[in-house]
Amino acid sequence: MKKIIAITFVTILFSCADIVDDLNQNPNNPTSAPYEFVLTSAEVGNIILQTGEASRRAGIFAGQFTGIGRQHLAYSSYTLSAADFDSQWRTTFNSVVRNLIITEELASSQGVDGVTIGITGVIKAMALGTAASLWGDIPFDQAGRLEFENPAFEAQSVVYGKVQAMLDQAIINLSAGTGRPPASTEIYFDGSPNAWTQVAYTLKARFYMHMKDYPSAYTAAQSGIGSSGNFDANDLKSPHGTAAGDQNVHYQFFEVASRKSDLITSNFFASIIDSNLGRNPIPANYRGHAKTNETARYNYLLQTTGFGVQPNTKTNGFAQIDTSAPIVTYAENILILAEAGARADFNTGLAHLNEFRNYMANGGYLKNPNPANILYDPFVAADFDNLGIENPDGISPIDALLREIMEERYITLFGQIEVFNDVRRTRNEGIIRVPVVPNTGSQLPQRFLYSQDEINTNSSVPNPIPGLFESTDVNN
Amino acid sequence: MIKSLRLLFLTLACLWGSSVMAQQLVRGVVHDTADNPIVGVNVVEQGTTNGTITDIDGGFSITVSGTSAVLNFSFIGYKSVVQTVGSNTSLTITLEEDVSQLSEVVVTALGFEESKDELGYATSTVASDVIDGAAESTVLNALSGKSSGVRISRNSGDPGAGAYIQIRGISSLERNSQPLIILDGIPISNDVRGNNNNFAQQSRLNDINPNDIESISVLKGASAAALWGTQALGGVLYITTKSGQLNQKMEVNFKSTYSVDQINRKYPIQSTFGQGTDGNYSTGTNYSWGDKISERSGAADEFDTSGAFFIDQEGTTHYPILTKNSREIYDDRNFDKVFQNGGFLENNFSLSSGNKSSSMYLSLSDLNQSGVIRNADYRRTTASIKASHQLNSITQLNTSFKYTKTNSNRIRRSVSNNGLYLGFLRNPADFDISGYRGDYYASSTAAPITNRQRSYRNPIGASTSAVFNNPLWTINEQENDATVDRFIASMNLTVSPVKWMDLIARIGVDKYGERTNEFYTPGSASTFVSGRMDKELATNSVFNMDYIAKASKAFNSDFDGDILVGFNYNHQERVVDGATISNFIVFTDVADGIKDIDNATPENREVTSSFGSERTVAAYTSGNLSAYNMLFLNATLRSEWASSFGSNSDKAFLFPSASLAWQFSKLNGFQSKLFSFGKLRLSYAEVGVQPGRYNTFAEYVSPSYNDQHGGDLTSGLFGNGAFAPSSNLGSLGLKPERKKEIEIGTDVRLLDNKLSIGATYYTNKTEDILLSFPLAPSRGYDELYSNAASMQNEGIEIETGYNLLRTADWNINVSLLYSKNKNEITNLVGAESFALATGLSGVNNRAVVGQQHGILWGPRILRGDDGSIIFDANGFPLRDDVEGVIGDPNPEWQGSAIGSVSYKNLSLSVLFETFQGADIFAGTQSVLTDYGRWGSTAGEATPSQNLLTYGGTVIPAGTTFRGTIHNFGAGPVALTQEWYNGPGGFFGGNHELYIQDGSWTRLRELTISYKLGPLLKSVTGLNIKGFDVSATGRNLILWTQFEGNDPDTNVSGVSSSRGIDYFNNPGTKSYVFSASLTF
Repeated sequence: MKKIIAITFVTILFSCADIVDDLNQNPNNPTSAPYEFVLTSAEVGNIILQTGEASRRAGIFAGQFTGIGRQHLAYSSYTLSAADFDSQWRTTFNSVVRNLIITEELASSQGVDGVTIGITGVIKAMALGTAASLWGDIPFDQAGRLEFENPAFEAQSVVYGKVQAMLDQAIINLSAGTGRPPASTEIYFDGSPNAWTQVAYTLKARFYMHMKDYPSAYTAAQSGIGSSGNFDANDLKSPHGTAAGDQNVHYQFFEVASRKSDLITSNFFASIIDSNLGRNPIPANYRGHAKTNETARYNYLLQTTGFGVQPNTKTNGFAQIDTSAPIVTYAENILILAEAGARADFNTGLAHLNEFRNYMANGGYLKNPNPANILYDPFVAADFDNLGIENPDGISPIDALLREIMEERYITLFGQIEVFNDVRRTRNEGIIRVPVVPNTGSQLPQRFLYSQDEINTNSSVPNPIPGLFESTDVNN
Repeated sequence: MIKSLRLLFLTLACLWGSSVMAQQLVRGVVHDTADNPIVGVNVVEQGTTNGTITDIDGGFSITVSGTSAVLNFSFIGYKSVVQTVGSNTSLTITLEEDVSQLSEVVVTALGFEESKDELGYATSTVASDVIDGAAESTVLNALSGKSSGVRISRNSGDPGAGAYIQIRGISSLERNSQPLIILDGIPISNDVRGNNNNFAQQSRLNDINPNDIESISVLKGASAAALWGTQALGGVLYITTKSGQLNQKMEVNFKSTYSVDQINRKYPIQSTFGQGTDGNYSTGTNYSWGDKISERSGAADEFDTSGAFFIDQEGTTHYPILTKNSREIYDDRNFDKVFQNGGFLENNFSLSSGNKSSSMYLSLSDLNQSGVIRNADYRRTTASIKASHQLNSITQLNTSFKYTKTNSNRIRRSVSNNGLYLGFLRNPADFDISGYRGDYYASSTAAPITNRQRSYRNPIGASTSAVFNNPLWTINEQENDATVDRFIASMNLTVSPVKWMDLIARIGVDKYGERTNEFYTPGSASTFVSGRMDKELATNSVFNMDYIAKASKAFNSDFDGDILVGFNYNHQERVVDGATISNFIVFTDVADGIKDIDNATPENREVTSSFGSERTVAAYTSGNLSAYNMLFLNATLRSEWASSFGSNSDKAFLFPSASLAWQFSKLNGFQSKLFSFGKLRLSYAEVGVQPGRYNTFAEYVSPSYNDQHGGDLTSGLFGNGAFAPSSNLGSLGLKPERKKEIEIGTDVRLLDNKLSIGATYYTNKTEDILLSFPLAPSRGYDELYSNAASMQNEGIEIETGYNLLRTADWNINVSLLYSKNKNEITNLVGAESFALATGLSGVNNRAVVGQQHGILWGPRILRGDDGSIIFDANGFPLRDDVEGVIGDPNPEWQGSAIGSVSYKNLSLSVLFETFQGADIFAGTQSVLTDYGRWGSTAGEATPSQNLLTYGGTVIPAGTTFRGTIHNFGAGPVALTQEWYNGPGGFFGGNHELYIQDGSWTRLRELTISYKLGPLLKSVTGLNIKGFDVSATGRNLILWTQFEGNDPDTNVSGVSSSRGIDYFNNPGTKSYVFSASLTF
């Protein structure tokens, strides 16, 4: 009897392992996927990064938005802590950069190179350049790579240099003529090498602007979006639909997530373009005049709701349910040419500004505008002379021109992170800067705080972390 | 494997025996010294397996081998009597109580009865009368305060809500630290599915009818539970259900219980100031920082009747308010529209009976509960049957079958614009919520826009967004039904081929299906504005088999022992299928009852489907050795395999335990009248927990990317669909979390067993804690599932009981329970902190090295290196950019005091419970202060000196302002709306300012009961066995500094992360009346 039990016991002891084998592979998820599907994920992540919370947060710091409720009220008085930036940081490195690196690895293992690698390079440079502009020093070489336990932070200027090199390499890859991703998988341009090359140049120009390297910016922008003569056909914009999971992100924020009660556009911003002086909170700020009528642009961008003036979520609005949100555009490219040009030569700048006004006069980036509400007549040099239409206060003509260009950028880039970059970049240029004033205290925020999650887990994070009002190196 | 199972069955089959021939019939009766018959006494003819059990009158009859036969009468708690039959055919046997055996019989983790005095570890047993006396609708809540070291945390008074059970501190970070629940030998599910901060979900243990329970054995430590290996990290609750007795006449019990439940605490909200901001009335605004209501003219409000208006569900027209003149305050009326007296009616019927070889127990019950929040309900219907049959002299079969159906509607709560309290408490005092749904007209000539929601933020329904739900919308236009069908079936076959050995086969299956239906009428707040419906069906099953061989042997008069070997097979499986639609095509509301999945375009339908399974097998052995009837040694070993470790793990994991009990009072000369009993116990054991399913492979998922405050892109809707590596990585070669525990204790009884003291010290260490280890986000991934952290617990438990008086009429007992546990996270592999699953985004529970589990973490006051507060120019504390530890929700100690007095048929019992030294984050208070709605914000102050506000405005001396004068340490300042809208409130808040003392003491139970049976019997002459009536008050008094809710509330629901209050649904107190008739 005892023997039987002993035998049974021993038999059981040594045969149990097979009973539990091979039950732990998750039947619900695959363990790999072709590269193009990861590319799509990265591009969706990039929409959140460029048009989501980071852009609104940047807009608050740049004086375009005002928080009136809950968390956004605190953001508006610059009361933020490191954890408030977890989401944007994670989006950058996880949803975008890491997915692009995986795309590259998978593509290369599938024998795909050229255009696909060019595209991933452009988006990666865009994401890391954006991150460098917002946070200053960031991980670059070690970003998005699991093998580095504590990714090293690289100086902002070094990162900008590497971003330029990455874009240069991307441009070369885009010209390879091979490796275009399968149809419909690349959601911005369906893999068009030409469109991506133009975007790459505009991005180069953008990042040179951040570094105040205006001549290089000008040169790059000359090959940027619209350089082949098709205006904004190659704008990098987010595609959207009307399903719950693909709607315009601003629309979701204001209309779906009930944040209408929390965030409005600032009186300052609204006042610049509100031609309805009865409604305009600071009528003196309105920039329209004999050559300019901003009614159509105001109607496109903004609407009045029960809570105040907010991005227009209605039909033909900037934040309509399926409106594509601008990320890198022809408009930005021309305005880079205008500003960088003007910083070298008045007439070059003016010519590009008029090029932009011509674009706007034909409807520009507005959606089905009423032509009667549009007026963007070309400026002449005299308009910027003392007491000219753009220089009532008698500053130098070149300053008057730059001031107009900066204001134009402030409006055109509404809702984009670039506005925050401009405001910081020109903070010491008292005459030409857009006169944004702090909501509280005497300083405008100069950066995003490092993510609390990153602080908790990466020993390479600068300690102590730089505060909200500490400039990043390029703006010192 | 199959082969070995077959072998085992074969072995069982071979061991059928035959009965012994008989020659002489003996009848008799067994009673105690007070002449009361004793039921269930074992009567065995010595040297044979021939035996019987006394019936309900203490009677027995047995046919013995002859006149020289010797009968042995034994019964637990009594001294055995040996009687030679001789020529007697009728015996009267008197059994004396055995003081040395007076101790309880407890049930071990495998379901075997043992004398508590012989155990080398701590356990406590909660008997059926204690559970009944608690008069709770669910088993778990009935256990509160009954056992030292056990914490039952109830999160809300919602009907059917689950509770978190924690024994001896938390031992895991992410894996379940709750005890394993074993029902009559079969592990059953105590799942809390879908636990989140939006609904108070149920604990599946609530499915068990408390009236069916005979006793609950609380096996606290690792050594008590070690035979369950990776399932027993949190200890074991062994539930024994009622069964019929052999030779029992049919007994029928009918019991009805009626409860009245009330909200036990209300938030202090102010009704002095109305809706508005900066002292001015403002319609539609979020704040109650408006004008003073008493200073209004008192005339009717002036409305703008020229334009837009709203007609509500009752036909009342609402126009925009131009001037607020009315002094009307709606707080009480609004409250009554949402809350009510809740309660339940429970009917329970049971029947039991037995003959000489069979017994059975059957019960039916129905509990129908309505919540203190209108429309919240819970109904549980159960049926149970348990039968036992002695197939032949060596074979016994026990089977049981339990069926439960529950149905409940849960009201959304907490962190949600659709939650009840969020919309209710923020609602200003001067806003009437009664019109919550109706038609909006943009002008007097406009066509109506139908089915808009009206709320205080959307007073004429002009916007599609109500911002925060009108609370009446929350209870009427949203529902979350859950229907559960569950059955638990088990079979236990015992064969005793020889006297010293039992072969036992136990097979059980626990299967439930939970169907949930969540519905939001279009017009609901936030993301549900265009309607939303979630349907889900989850099916869960636990299949368990144990095969046990158990043998005992007496070596000589000083030594005996027993040994057990067993095999355990456990397979668990869950399938969850769900579908969600949003953006309804055709307007449908809750009242329609139509749940059409086609009522949305295909892109607005989402289906989810997941399947998961895991399997664990183990072989185990346990040996007991007793020496000189004084030393009792037990050792166990479990060798376990499980699928969740993946194919690269080292496989068999061993979990040993050893315990020793030494009854030192048996030493010569030790025992006296004063010192009745003394035992020292010592044990060491290891238990563990398995990895979660499917964490050994890197996976690809179709991701959704979202923003912190709204905005969510489903990548699958773009391009040709999308996949990306999951941000949560698995790893190969996982090991179990392993808890090693040393326990030392003593049990002493003094004063002729009247005073008992049990004390236990334990220390344990959990190593290789499995967690989704946070990775630096810049590495591109969020988490790596691995064996990373370690923590330890150390604590003491003391249970004392004193029988003050015991006479024929009187019985007075008091007992005190005390426990203290200190937890420490000892290693997080370099991470500074680790966020536990839940909490708020502002304040959450974390693991931090050197701190206790689940400390509160969030924005805090900026302090210098010396700890001093750093102030801004106006004298207000600055907020640190970097978050840190702000509070500890773990209690320093907890305890309870239980007293019972009975006099003849009347008895009274009382239970006080206390919980001391725990922090709580007063999130609700923080928000309501921010909003100017918290009671104290109605205060006004007149400074005697000039004061600065947070924004630097000067309030001149002698000027009365709405706010408080406060000194943070840099001189007095004025706390006004400005401060509360900034760091002094919730949004942008410095949350350290709202960490409060969450200690409490409560009168948990007060019960008075009377046995009316004898009276009824004498009056009516009916043959009834008993008629008991009782009245119980639960939670009648709560002493706590925490305001507004029961401090046991928890935003994270049934979770080890505790200590955050944020618009959680309220706790309750109850008055319960019960009548039980037995005949």
